[in-house]
Amino acid sequence: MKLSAKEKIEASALILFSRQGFYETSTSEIAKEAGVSEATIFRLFSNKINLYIETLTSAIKGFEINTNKVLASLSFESFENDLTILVDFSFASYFDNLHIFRIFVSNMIQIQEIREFAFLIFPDLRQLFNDYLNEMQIRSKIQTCDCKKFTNLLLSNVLKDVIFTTTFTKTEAFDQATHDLIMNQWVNKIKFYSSLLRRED
Amino acid sequence: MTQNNWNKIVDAAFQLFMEHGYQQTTTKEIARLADVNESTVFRTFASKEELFQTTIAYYTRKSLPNDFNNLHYSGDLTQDLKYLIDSMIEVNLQLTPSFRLLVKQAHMPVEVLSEIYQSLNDQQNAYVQFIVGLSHRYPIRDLMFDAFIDAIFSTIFYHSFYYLIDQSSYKAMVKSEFSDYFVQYALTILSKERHHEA
Repeated sequence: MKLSAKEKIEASALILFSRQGFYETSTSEIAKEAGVSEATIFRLFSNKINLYIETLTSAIKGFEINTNKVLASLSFESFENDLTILVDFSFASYFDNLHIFRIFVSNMIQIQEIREFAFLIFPDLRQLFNDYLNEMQIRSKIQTCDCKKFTNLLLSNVLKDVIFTTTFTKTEAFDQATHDLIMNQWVNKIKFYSSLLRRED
Repeated sequence: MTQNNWNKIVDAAFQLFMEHGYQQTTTKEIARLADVNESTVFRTFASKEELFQTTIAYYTRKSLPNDFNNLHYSGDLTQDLKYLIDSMIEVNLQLTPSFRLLVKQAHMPVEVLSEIYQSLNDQQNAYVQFIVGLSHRYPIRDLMFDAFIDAIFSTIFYHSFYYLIDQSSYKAMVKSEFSDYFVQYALTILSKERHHEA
C-alpha cells in the first residue's frame, strides 16, 4: 500500500519527536526523513505544533490491540500462568507503541496541548486486566479485590520497566533478548502479584 | 575554574535545557544566565554535548537522597512507612523533569545512562533493606520485598506525572496528602488481615 504524503510525514514525525523531542526536532528534518518538501508540511499541517498534535491524534487512533487471541490462551485456572501471559502481552503492546508513550512521558508536563489526551496506561490493557480479574473472582480462583487498583499497580510497573529499559539500554524493540531479560526479571514479580490475590482456603 | 562557576554553569544549563531542549539552547545563553564568560564554559566542558550529559547526570543523581538512612526506625509502622514513601515521592518528583530529557535517545551515551541506572538500582536496594528491617520489627505480611518496593516505586512514578501536571484528580492535593495516599496503600498490602470487600 502506498502511503500518502500526510501519512509519510506523520510516520517520520512520530519517530523523530520520540527520539529527539518536540523542541529538538525541526520541520526540515521531518521533511527530509519523509522525503517531502518543507512546504508540503506547512501546506498540510500549517505549523509545527499542529503537526505534532495531528501526529499524536492519528497514532492514538491507530491504537488497537487485539485481545481475543490473548484471552483464548488464558487458562482461567492458574493465576500465575495467566499473569505471565498477560504481562508478556502488555510488554509487547507497549513496545509496539513505544514512540507515542515516549512522547507522552517527555512532553505531557511541558506541552499543554497534549495533556487532555495523554495517558500512560493503555486503556485497552486496563480493560483486559479488569475483565480477566472479574472473571477469576466469579470463578473463585482469586480472592475478591479492588480490580482497578490491582490493575493500576501492575500496569504502572510494566510502564516503568518499559520506560527504564528503553531509556537506559536504548532498546526500541521487544526482540528476543529484551523479552528474555524482562520476563526473567518478572518471574519474581509475578509471584509477588499473584500472592497478593491468592485464596487461602 | 572554581566550584562556584561549575555549579553556576550546570544550574543555568539545566534550566535552559529543560525549558528549550538541547537544540534550541546555545552555550552563549547558558553563559549569560550563569553570569560567566562563554570561554569559561568551554574551559570546563569540551562541548555543548558534554555539558548536557554532565548536567543531566548531575541532576539525576542529585534527585537521589543521600540522607536516606536504612536504619532510621521510629518504632511506629505508619511513621516508618511514611519515611520510606516520602523519600520515594521526592525521588520521583525530582526525577520526572530530568527524565523527560533522558527518555529521548539523542545526546546521551550508553555509559552515562548505565551509570545513572546503577545509582537508581542502589537507591532501590536501600529501600529494600529498609523494608526488610521493618519486617523484623513489626508483624507485617511476608512478601517478596524487592517486588513490593518495585511495585510501590512504579505506582509513585506513574502518579508523579499526573501530579506534576495537576490533572483533575490531583488538583488541590498537597504533597502530604499525596504521600498519605501511598502510605495507606502500602499499609493495606502489608497488613496481615485479608481485606474482603463486601
